Amino acid sequence: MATREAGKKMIMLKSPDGMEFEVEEAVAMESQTIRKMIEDDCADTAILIPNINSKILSRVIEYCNKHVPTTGATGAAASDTVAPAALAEDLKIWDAEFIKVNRATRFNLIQAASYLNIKGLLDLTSQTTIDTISDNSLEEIRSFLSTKNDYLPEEEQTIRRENQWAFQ
Amino acid sequence: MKRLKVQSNEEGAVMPRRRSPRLHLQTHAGPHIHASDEGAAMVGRRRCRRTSSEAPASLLDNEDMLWEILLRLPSQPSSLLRASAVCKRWRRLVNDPQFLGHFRTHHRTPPLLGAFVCRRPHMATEFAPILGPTDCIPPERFDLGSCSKWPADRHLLDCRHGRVLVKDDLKHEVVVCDPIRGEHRRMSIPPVFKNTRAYIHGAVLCAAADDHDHVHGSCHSTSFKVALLSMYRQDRRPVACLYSSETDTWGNLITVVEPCEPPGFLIPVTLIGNVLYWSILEFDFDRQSLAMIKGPSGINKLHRFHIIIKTEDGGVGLAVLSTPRIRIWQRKVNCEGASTWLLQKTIGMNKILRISPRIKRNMGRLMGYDEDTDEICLHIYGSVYMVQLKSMQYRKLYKTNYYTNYYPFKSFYVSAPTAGCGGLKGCPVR
Repeated sequence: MATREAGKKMIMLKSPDGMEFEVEEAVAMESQTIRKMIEDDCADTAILIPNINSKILSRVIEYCNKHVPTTGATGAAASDTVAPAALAEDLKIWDAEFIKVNRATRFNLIQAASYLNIKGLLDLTSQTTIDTISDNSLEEIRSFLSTKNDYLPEEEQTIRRENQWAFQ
Repeated sequence: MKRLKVQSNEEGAVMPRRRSPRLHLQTHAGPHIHASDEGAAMVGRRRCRRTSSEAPASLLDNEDMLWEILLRLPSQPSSLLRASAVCKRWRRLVNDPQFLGHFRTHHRTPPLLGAFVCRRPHMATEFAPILGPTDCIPPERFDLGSCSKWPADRHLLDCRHGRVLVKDDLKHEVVVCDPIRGEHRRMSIPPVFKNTRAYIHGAVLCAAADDHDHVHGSCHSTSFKVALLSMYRQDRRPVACLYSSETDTWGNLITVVEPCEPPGFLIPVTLIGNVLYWSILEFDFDRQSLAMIKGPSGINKLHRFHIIIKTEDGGVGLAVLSTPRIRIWQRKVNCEGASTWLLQKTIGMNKILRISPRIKRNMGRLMGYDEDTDEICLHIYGSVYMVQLKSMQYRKLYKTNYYTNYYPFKSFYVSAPTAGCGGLKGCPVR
């Protein structure tokens, strides 16, 4: 239910496991999916976020809270008074701590970021996954991502042989 | 029912809002959103998703997630080839034209794979890979075929947007090569260039160069332009002409009144917006105008000691090599159109390249410039270096005593198990 608190419009987000989160509209609108719903006037009541449990949704909101541009009392953007480079560096450090989660949580965060269309979170979670596997062997990648090798041995040999330089 | 109140941190650090989710908007083309009968909003998606709140046992179960993750693979040539080898589904995905389009858009700039160079006089032009072992594409993959034979009569003029321009003196033609596809397209040089002096200089570029939505690096199916420049034999006036592959015709001849001393070498070309610069000769192919600009410090000739560069704000700059220093100038144009040059910085090359400070004057030569990476290529003391003008970081490429232009080659490169690409053999991103 959209309410107002201290002049700020609040939005209710519901997870499938029955939790409700009251967040500022600006924070919720970090999600392009929710933003569209609000702009299309489809968000009068609580918004059900299917497929994302309360644990993951609370982490997503934590991320959005940190990344939403804030405004001061005068309405001027905070970035007017704080050096953008310092803000970016602070966020980078915060992101690095935020993403120190186990594999299952990270995958759920990717799923949630994709679902809610939060580009920054999607970049962070997906890029971290790629960085984790980029130097690994094919076998290690398959193992990490629980992916079954369905090539016949001779098929895989052909692929490796055709572009041998890429598999050194 | 539990209820949590989450508020933004008033004291929390902020940053400018991230760019709009370009990929997502394209990938998911505006998520379909509707309100349920009960008023709770539901969200529709491009594909069906898992409904479990647990982590998926395998990413193969969720194509959206796999898509998002693989999109962020490095743009280096081995990335998608290796991903193809993980399993068949990955292979299908990384060869999906829609995925490849988003992969290019995500990375924006294709990787520098290497360069086309001619290391010694009368030797064939060859591809020199620049990347590390796992991304080092064998030179034979980018063989220019007949264009690299008879090197005394075939001259490399330019390399840009994944294409190579070669002048064939035997047939009085220029040839546009697509090294990745192994395709060549020939066109006759306009007869007027038979009456010009010395060298014919050239440039090739993708016709979509001024389209900001277009990502270069796999422009294989787009049309292209070729520009030629030389000087009339009798009065030494520069003359230029532009070819369009769309119409398969050469445009009007464009000249200037002032004579220009023809240089005894091929001038590397710099592209800034819709303007090509061969040293101080400025060819605006959009407006069809040719002009000779006045450089700083009385620079009014074409030689190997200066090259036009692109400034940070997309304007015109000039790098002037006066060993052991390089001076970087920026052109400022006032509201009346008058231009002045401001000295931006002076760089001591001996300090950066760690070479002898007793280097003789006029020892070095500028051999090329990459507008995308803001790197100049220079030859000094028998070695070729690439120097990034902002960071001053450098790479030593190879040793040679032959002054020759350096043509960086940038392109995306993936496996393509489709007809015409040799099964699983590497092939360009289309």
